[in-house]
Amino acid sequence: MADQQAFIEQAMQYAPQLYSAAVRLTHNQADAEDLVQETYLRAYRGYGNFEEGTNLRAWLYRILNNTFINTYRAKQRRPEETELDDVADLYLYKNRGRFETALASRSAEDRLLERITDQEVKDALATLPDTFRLPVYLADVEELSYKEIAEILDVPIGTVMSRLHRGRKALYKQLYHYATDHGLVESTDQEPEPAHG
Amino acid sequence: MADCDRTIADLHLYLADELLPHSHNLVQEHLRACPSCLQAFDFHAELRSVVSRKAKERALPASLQQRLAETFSLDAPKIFGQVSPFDRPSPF
Repeated sequence: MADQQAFIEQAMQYAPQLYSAAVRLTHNQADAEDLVQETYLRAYRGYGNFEEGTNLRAWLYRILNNTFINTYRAKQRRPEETELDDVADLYLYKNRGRFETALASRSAEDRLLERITDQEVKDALATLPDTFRLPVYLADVEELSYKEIAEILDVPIGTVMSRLHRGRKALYKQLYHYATDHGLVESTDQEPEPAHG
Repeated sequence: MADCDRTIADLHLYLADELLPHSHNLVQEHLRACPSCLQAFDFHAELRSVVSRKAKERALPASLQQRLAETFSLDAPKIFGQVSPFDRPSPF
């Protein structure tokens, strides 16, 4: 089965991307490694179902997502949450007025976004229900097209758009809370903290 | 020209480059004339780039490389690059 071997070797170019998505889905390295390994095993066995010339990356992500839903989500015994609180559009942007008490210029605003840590962005993504997390991750972190995401999730593109719309709002609201916790943004309901150092 | 509400409604589609050319041009035309919408677009462009950069795992762990290589009889350095797994810096 030289073809099957060549196929899996070609598919390995996406291993870092699949692993990164797997960490966001499972929240830990050990499960993420198992999920990627299982994804490649299924891809190897299902090689005959892959149509030459179609999108290999989307096909692999789709296997990853299905494997996650069928195996790991069941194992985690987490109910599939599909609801998010309603959040105003452009929540973070509209509240950035609070930044401007301390930060007058555009470049200062950029630095403020830079001060949100890697871990906080990951934690904020982790607060999204699964249904929203993967589309937001694929669109805004991996910058896949909406069409490709629709293919991966096996839903209509309108569903992708609505999940992105609500998922992003929830994500940005969470980031706003971290910024507030840092004192990067003055909270609306408490006194501004005294400046340190 | 498109109004502010219409333009803001297209913000994420524009930043993701998902608008059809006609709508894309309408947004650009509006942004050239409207500093307030431009500011919102700038902010979100930066926010997207921050989220993208900070939520990505960059390195495939050596342990996973090894498992995949063993499972599929891969030539690991050829497939995953020349860096020895033992020299690879920890992602943490």
